[in-house]
Amino acid sequence: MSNRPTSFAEVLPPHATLSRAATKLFRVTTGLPAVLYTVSGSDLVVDSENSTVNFTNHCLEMMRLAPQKCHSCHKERARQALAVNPNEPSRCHAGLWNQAVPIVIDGKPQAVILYGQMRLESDCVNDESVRQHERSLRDLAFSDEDMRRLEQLYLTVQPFQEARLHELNTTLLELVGALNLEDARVQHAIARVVHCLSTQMQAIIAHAENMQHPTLQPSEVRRMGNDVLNQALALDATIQTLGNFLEEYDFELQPIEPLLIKAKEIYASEANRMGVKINLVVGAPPWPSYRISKTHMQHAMYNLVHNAVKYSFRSTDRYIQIESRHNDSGVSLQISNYGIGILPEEYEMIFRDGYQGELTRGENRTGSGKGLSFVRSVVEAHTGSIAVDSKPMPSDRSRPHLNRFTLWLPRA
Amino acid sequence: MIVRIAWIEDDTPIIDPVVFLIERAGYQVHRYVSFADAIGNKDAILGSDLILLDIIIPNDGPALSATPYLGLVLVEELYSVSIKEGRSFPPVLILSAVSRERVVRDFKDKYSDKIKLQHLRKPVLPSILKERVDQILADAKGG
Repeated sequence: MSNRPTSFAEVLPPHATLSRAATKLFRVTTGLPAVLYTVSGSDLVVDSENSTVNFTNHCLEMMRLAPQKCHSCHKERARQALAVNPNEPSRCHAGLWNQAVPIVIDGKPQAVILYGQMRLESDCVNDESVRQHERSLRDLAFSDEDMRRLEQLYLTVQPFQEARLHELNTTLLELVGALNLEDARVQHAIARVVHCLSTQMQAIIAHAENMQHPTLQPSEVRRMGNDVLNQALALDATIQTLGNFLEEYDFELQPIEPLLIKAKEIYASEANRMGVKINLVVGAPPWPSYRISKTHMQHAMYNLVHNAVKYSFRSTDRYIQIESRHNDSGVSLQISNYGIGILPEEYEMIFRDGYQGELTRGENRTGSGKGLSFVRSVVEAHTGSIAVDSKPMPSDRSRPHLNRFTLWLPRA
Repeated sequence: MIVRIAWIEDDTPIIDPVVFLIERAGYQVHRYVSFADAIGNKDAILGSDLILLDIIIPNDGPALSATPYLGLVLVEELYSVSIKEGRSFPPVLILSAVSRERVVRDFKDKYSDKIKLQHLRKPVLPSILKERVDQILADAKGG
């Protein structure tokens, strides 16, 4: 049975999971109690996981005797934090000081981390806290015995430096800022993935309906059928790359060239519509064989060829060149295009998972950012290597780069 | 009479079959693949009977704006050109993914009294697109 993730929630942790982890990390590293309240509709709900860990004996006793009062006091504090985002600590009904940090992701309130419940070192502040504590005990009408016990427990609460509380608050706000960035990154990644998949799905849906048009000639139906097939294969390639769902590597002796031919075939329609020609320079069969995992290597070729098509410029006379060259030590495959460039400082980063080239961002072009990372993992599994270079073509007004991916595989 | 439709969409190499039925019906579809491409052909676009618009298009020119919704920036730009030149502005049919509906709704609210804007969610069936295009063109002719 596979233990692969089955949903986006598992693959990409939502901010709720990160908020919980941040709260736990804060609790463990500071030794202070910290409770996470999450926004649920118009209400705030306490996250039950470890919600009373690190509370002082005083607080635990108070929460036992007056759970509703403590809960509503905490909740009200959390609500205030979301409403006015105060940076100052405030006192609870029992006179202890806490701090509340709202977690607002993408402008939407998501949760509040409430922490502290301490006495402060400053005498003046402490006096106020003692008086507040006494008032609270009277208002709650506890028995004399309970009041005495709570007063004794109150004195055992360790005082805390106010400056330290401010420092912790600043750290937590930085952490929340990091959560925001992470959430934005995840949302952006999801948007890119959805765009990739839905664009290919759109093509298949449109072809499928068009094929039912009564005036179509048989040759048109065949051409559309072929387009549907290639688009479906392209969609499959995208899905396999996104999820890295391919099975175990299964190495066998196979020539590389048929994989290049297949890759050219499935992206030829897209290239034609862009006015881009694909030149395949692979010589005539029989071709030398290499120990490859055919399915993985095929998907790697799909990725490289599709990238070359997708990132080609439309306004220049240009072509995509796919070439194989064999020698005694192995085979070198080169896939080059004229299009959006890759900066020299990105030659290594471009193969990292999720990375998108700086120049593609400026062009507002969408890709999953996963294709080249997948390609590198496949190449490395074959003990090969892959590199890229990209040269600007300043003579052309549309500023294309000549980009060249060079993949090397050793002879078995 | 020839009906001219300006299709502003960078993914036409993949989703070209979307306009198959429109072209079969005899409408001329002119494709513009980026912001710069569309601005360079603004006269042709303003002279069109309808604009089909993708809201996320590449720039292919100098950096313009941090927004990913350059398609909407383009409509604003073209609209201001039409005002300056005293020209009428063609109706716009936005094709966008479900996740962008809020952005489209806000834009429609902003321009509801200036531009005839409609919206179809992708993926779209070619027959539904043609139906909507026919309806918009008929309304424009009538009004």
